[in-house]
Amino acid sequence: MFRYEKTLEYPINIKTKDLKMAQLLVEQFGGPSGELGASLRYLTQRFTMPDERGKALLTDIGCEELGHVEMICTMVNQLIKDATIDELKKYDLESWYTGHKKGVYPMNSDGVPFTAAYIACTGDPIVDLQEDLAAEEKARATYENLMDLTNDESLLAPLSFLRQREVIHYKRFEELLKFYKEKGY
Amino acid sequence: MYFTEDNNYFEFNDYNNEYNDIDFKINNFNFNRNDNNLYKVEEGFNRGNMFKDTYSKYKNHVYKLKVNTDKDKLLYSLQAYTFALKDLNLYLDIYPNDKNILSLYNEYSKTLESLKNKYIKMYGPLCTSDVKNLDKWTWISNPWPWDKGGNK
Repeated sequence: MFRYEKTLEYPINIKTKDLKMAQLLVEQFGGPSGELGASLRYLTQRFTMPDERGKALLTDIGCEELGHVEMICTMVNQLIKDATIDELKKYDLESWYTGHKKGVYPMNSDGVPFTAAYIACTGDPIVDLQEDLAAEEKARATYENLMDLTNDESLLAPLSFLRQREVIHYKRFEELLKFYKEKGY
Repeated sequence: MYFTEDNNYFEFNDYNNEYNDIDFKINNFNFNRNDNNLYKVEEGFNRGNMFKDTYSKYKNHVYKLKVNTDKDKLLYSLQAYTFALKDLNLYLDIYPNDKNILSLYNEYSKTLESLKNKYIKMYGPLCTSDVKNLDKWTWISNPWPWDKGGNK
């Protein structure tokens, strides 16, 4: 069961609107290495984890990723909500506006909609965990690229937080994989 | 009532048969991590990682949250403790027998409980079940977490 808690995992108060960063950041919502894919990946794969450690870890990381989806969408929303039509045009966001006004749609930074093809669920815990390790690394690299593209500290702080979460998730998945290999799963 | 504690359909012992923790002997695994491997709650929260040995920063990016209002201060503590518990939770999923971390988890969850009670009393519900007001369904009240300046 899922219950909503009315707070972000980490506070977000974006200082200035930035349409370019809104367009780029949406990558981590609906892109191939984004948080939506991450949460669906783990919350789907958990059903075929062979022991209680795996069931727990994939459930708990999957839930945390849903909180990250909320953080990314909050950033995008705050970056774009006060934009004027002229500003949207200036940053080539006419196609965003045409389909979604200033809505936050799960897509990558090129406007390609999210697809479940970004995730795997092979039913094999060793294979799934290998995919999870790769996914965490790809997400970490994407956060680093985004951090290279802004100087706004009110954006950098949550991005840095989210990047660090990829580091710790990687570590836990790595420990679980090692344990499963020892156990011969 | 479908089951009571005396007549619990799911016997706790059944679970233990799934695998045996005695098998769990891997050289690199440290079962009783010392607390000095951990950051203090607020520092861990700022870093996004409670575990010193796994922290890795990107370039020189290190940030510390600044809080101005009393509400933000309370919210910040609440988020920090929620985060610390989350990070210990993920660790405990892999090392469920680490007594040091278990007792720390217990300690932090008591602190979080009292922070939550204080916050709910002053600023409104965090979950629907927190609503105690009989005049208005305060769950709907702004700000929502994504509202600018709302933070909550």
